[in-house]
Amino acid sequence: MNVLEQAAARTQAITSPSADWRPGDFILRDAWFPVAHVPDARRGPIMRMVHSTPYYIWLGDDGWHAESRHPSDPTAGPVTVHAVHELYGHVWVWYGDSHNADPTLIPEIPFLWRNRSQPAHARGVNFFHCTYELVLENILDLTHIDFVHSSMTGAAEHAEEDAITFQSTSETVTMIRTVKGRLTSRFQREVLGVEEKLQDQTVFTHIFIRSGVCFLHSHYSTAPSIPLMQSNTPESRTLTRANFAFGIEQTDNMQFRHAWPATAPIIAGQDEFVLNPQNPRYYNRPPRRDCSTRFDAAGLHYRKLHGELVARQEAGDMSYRNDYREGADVASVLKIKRLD
Amino acid sequence: MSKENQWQVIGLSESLPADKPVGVHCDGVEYVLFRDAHGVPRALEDACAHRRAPLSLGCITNTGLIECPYHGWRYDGSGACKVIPNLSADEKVPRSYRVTGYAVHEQDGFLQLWTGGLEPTAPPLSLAMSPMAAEWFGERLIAYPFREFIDLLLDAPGAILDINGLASRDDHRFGDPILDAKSICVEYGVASRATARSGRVISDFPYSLVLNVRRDGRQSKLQLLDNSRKLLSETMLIARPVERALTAVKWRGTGTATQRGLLRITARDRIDPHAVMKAKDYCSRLCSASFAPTGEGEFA
Repeated sequence: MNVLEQAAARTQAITSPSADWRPGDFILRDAWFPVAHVPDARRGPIMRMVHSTPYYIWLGDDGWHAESRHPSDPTAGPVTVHAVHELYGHVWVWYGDSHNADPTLIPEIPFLWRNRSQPAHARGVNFFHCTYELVLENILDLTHIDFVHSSMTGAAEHAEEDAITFQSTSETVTMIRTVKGRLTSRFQREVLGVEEKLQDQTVFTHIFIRSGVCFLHSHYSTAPSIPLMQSNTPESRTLTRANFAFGIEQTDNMQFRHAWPATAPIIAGQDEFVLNPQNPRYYNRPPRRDCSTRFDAAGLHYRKLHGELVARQEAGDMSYRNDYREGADVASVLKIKRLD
Repeated sequence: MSKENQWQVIGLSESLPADKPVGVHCDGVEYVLFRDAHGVPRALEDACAHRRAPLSLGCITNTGLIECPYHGWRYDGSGACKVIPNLSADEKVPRSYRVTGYAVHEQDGFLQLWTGGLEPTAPPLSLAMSPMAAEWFGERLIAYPFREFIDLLLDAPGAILDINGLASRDDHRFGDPILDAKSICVEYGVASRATARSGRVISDFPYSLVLNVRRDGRQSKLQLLDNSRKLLSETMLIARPVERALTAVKWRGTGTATQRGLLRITARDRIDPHAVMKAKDYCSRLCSASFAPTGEGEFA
């Protein structure tokens, strides 16, 4: 039984995704994954994994290649040639049936340049030692910020208003959290010189269920902010590659343009602190229902949509529905200026 | 791996501070221990009811609740979730929101946990020792599988135990092991380290080491006697399997001063492979059929 068949067998056993959420048990196919920053891939051939499948990527005279075997590997045998595309400073590879690899399915990223990479200080990579669904839940559930990242973002426990709304398509979930009267963070006070004690904040997270790609952005009443694209590529059930790129062009504050991306490894380390031990508590434990609150609404909706996608793919339907393209323009949702 | 409900010794009193939770692995289960606002030790499953983050990475609040590090859910000593941050004043935490709680008994410097939950159906283990002038305690994590660790303790205690300036002669038992329904008892000759390891013939040992090992191997009373059968020191050694090939060992001992000083019996930090090679599997083989998989029974 191969990996896909095992995943299908496990899927059969699931009756309700929220009652028995088993992240990592399902492999969603037919999606573009931004597996490498272009400057990294240009040094290739490099190897990247998607769902435990190796992709060797290099730039030849005739363009990008992504194959199942290193070009210098003398081993005989069949080679799988994968669809590959360069966009927004990333090399995207297709996981699934290459006949369905339509480049227009690559998400629009309005805060990144279509045909060039972000500068080195505004891009990078982190790893989370868990399955990518847990990373996406982490991103959709921003109440963890108050505990895990409060040194960077301030604490909201005593905020006068704290509301979460979400919207979705069949392929994406967008979460918006609005907090009034949130404490300003140490970072904002010490690095940005913010003097106010309290601020209003609106946080957006937008995730793509199949690929794990996400956008994060905040608006603070007291300070600037920079949107983030993070890849969250599922390399395996225990490792997620998070290539990231900051849309630094959204602010004119040059100090902030350099200082904020430098916090990425710190914030990732804080998330890794909880995600790493969280992972075996899902795959090593008997099924049980997680308890939730209204703050988890977006995450629970993600589980539901994920389950629906799994069911569709189990039935052989790999297609994207029309609402995916209709909801592709997130610039207005994120309230950012589009780069062309 | 034991599956029946039982009391397990999972720590020393000193290893559980008032202001910090402690994670404990035991028989493949992860527990978190903490002290509530009254200093009473509590134990819960080490996974938040919300998103299963380990509570042992969290903190203790001023009100004695344990707080999850991920989203700040707070639990009391029974496992009930009492606080979920950011909820408005008119929102209540559902009663069903809880994690499994376990009864904890603290006595004689040891923490015992009932693996069956909050309502024990058996009395805690007796871990009392003979009162003597001096006391000591300690703990180690040893990279050696639990079952083999107990076998080695019975066959070659010198490979595991450290006695100040002394050593057991592991090939010199005083009689065959005595087995009863609850434990196995075996006694070894003990001499100064130099003498014991010299290979010299020793006709009359100045000391002896009595090992009284519970049937499941998790609790051992170790007594050092002089040749007039006077008790010089006594150590309660607690061992339990942790993960893979690791064994957690904790001990607490009492003793009186001798001309050689205080003869503490403690566990070595590593097991000498040469001593393992020399060990004859006599006691362990003799007793293996009588070992019970569960921790029933106590010392007489």
